[in-house]
Amino acid sequence: MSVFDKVFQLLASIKIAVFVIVSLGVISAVGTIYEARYDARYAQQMVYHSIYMWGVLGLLCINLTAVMVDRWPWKKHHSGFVLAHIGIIIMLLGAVFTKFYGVDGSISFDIGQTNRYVTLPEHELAVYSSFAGSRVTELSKQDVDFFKNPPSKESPYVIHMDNKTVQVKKYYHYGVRSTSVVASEESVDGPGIRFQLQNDNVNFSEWLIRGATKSFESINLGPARVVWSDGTYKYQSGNEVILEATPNSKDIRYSIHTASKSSVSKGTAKAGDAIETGWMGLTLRILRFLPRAREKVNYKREQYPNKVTHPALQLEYEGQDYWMSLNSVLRLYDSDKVYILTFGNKRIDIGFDLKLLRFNMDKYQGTNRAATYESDVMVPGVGEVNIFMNNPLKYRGMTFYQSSYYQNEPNGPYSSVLSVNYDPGRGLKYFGSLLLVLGSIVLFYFKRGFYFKRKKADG
Amino acid sequence: MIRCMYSKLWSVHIATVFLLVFSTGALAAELTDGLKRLPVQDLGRLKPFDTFARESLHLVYGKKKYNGRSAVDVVLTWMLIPDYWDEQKVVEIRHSGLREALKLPEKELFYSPKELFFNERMSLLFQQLKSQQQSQNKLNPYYQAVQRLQNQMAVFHMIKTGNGVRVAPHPEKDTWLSVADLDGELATAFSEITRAVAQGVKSDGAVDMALRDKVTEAVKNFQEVARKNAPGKYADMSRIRLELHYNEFHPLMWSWILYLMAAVLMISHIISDRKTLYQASWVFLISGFLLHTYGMGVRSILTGRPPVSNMYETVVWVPWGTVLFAAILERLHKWKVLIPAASVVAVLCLILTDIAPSVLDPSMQPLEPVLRSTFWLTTHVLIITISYAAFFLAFALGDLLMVYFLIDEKKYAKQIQNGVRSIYRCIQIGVVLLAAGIILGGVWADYSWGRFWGWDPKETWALIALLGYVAVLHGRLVGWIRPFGMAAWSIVSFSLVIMAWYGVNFVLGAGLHSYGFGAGGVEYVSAFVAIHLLFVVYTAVVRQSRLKEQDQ
Repeated sequence: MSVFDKVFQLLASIKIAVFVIVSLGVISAVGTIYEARYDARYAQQMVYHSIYMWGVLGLLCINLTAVMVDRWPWKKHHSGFVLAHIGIIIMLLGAVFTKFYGVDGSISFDIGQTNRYVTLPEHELAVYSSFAGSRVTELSKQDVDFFKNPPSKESPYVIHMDNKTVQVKKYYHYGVRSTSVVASEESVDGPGIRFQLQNDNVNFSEWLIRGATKSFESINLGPARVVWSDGTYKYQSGNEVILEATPNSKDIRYSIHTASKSSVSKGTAKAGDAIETGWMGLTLRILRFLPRAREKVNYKREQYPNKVTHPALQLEYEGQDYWMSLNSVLRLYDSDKVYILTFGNKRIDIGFDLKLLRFNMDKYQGTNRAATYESDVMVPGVGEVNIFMNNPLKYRGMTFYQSSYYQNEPNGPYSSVLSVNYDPGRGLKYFGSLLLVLGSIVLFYFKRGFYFKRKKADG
Repeated sequence: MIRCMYSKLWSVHIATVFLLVFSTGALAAELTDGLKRLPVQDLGRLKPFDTFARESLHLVYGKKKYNGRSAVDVVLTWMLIPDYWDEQKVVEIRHSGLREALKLPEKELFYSPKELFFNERMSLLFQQLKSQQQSQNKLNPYYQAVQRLQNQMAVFHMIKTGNGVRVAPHPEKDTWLSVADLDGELATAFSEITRAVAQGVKSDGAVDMALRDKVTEAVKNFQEVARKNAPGKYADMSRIRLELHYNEFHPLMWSWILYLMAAVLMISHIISDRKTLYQASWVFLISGFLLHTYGMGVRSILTGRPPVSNMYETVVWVPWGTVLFAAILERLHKWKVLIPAASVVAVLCLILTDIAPSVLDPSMQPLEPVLRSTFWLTTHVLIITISYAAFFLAFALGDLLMVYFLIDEKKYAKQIQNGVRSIYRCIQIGVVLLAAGIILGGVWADYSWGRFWGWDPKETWALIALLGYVAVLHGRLVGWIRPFGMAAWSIVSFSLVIMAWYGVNFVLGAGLHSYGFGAGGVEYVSAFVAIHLLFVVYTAVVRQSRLKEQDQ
């Protein structure tokens, strides 16, 4: 037997088949563990679409083809075996088409909103430049996969903007945002104050930072509103604490307005002083005052995802570090223009507008649990279409499925999410599946004849 | 205000009466029969008071009865004499870490609502739970126990105050009126029920038929008033009655008793070779199967969906398939051991559904929107789970063959040959069904989510199980796997099915298919799998050494 024959016999052998089957099982099992620990996308990228998986599937195709060639010319009793094996190859071919030419994204809109962009899971980094707020030009737009090719300080991902560069130095796939307030020297930053409102039951401590050009900044804490004013703010309504800085001193001037008694108490305080407000035993404490304050964003890397983690990257521009989270915009200033960076999910234009007219949800009786939900969508040239679970819209080769919903604020109106799908491999997958099932049935029916033939073939 | 005083009046009146009786003897069970079919709105559906009481008692107390008193009696009196129940040890805390955290006596399992309510550490625990929930982390068993305790306290409190017992439709809203909300004529009619119950109690022990009828009358009268109050919105009584019948008749219990008889008779037949035993075994098997079918059928009518939408239902459905396959194969191949093998599987599964309600929740909960789908969902789940039934039969046969191998391989050569043939048949049936089911699952996913295959853990594990069995079939094809291997692999491969069926929801706990499943029993299932794997290894070692001896 020639070397070629030997290799061919090995490739056509059932040993390889069992090896492939077991490997597929093991890789898939690892994938499910990854998915449980991390998330579906992580498992897909690291396992299901990994080079190992493609390698094993490639070997499977070779094995299936080789074994069929080996049995040539086929007899009647081969029909089940041939059908099943061709079915698997066609299914895998369908999967390849889906992977490379398919679209699997989502489109979301509020009621009354129009959208024509499908959001994909892949990421994209784009840079625009603008002169004095007018005319925005796109400088570059690139697909990035920092998860697979993470940037580092040593080998950053470099973006060129005219003659300047931005260097992406860090990428956290599961980042958690935290902020801290620091003293600043820059003239764009305004004063900041940290205070505490406390009694036996509640405890708020907050920062209020007022922009350098703003006249006041405020926060509503339930029992009262706290206003950080430049001195021009006038009491409006309800319980209010108005805080003002005094020129050239660290003292804070306060006035406490109580709505129920229409009374005002005024005074000055330093950091650390406690002031009785007279509301449910609440004490106001001035904790810290900064003449110029800035909120500094930082990210921490998490090992595993949870609901508050999201992708974030750190970049350097003109010696300064900036953080960007996924789907955010960053402005970088140059002497005469501004660069606008966007880091977000890749979006594609589907070529027509979809408008969400209505969103309805039925709940199980006496509960807040959703039973069904549906969207009424305006489709150009078609009119109004009702999309609900298991009743998708098929339009221009794409399919739109009702996949979920969300609320921008608690008890607010619902927004609808449709998953959008274009799958050129669909027909192949269905056809392959059909062959596989038919083949398996025939295979077991004719198994005796096939078995004897195999026994001879394998010696 | 008037309503308030009125309800106070009846509750005081009744409370004194009840306290007398509860301290002396049990409330006669039949007295409250009429109350069982009172429709209650709870957790998104209408159910008879009987079901409501059973589920509530089970949630709070973890058992079906309290000191021999029926759930209906207990839950009704929570509402009527709350002060008495506040003192009773009726709240179950299973998690020892939680008992420790609450500084409760270590040895006890049950505590009174009062001692828990006044436990200083309770609010702290609930706060910690809240922050755990807010951080969106998966709850560990300790926090699950805290969550359960919170739930138990809430349910007890809601029933005690009457706020959680929704008995009459609201004229405008979807949410029904609770006992505490009742007003005017409704309140009067409801107090008639409790008054009748209270009077019945006085007769101490024996049930006065007249009083029992009085309770039933009062319930009927209340239903009439409720119906009039919100025309067209009252419950469909035929469904309520059907559910009550299902609760009381308990067809699945009778089914496993009959299967057990069938198994015993068939084994006796195999030993004694008496023909009547064989026929009798079939009669019991078929009756058991019919009751099994009836039970699943009634449940399907009640839930309005095929009986495969949660763990409990599949554990009932799979042995049905196992018995069916065994019966067909027995008729074809005349291999009698199939009957006891399948019966044992069925008895095991059905007993499990009876004794482990905290793991296999029998309550008929409404479905998540995505699962309220139609044809393809049903078909793919039915087919995949029925393939598990075939693998389960192969597994049981494998176990049996292991015993034959251990005792005497030569003497039982015929049985082993038949057994291996049946295992092979079962695996073939399973593989075709599982492949078809996975593909139909793909069709359904494509239909509802637009993805033929999304690497969801449940579907992936079904695929892994399929690959496992396909590997076994291919191994057999080239003679790597011989009769002993076939029996051994039918047991080993079934671990993959257990992972796909149970493990994905309870061990991995991730993915689209993890809707509405509880948690628990992992240690028992792992032990089950481990014992079987050890059994296979042990048999293989014993057999190898025996074969070596023979060679020498």
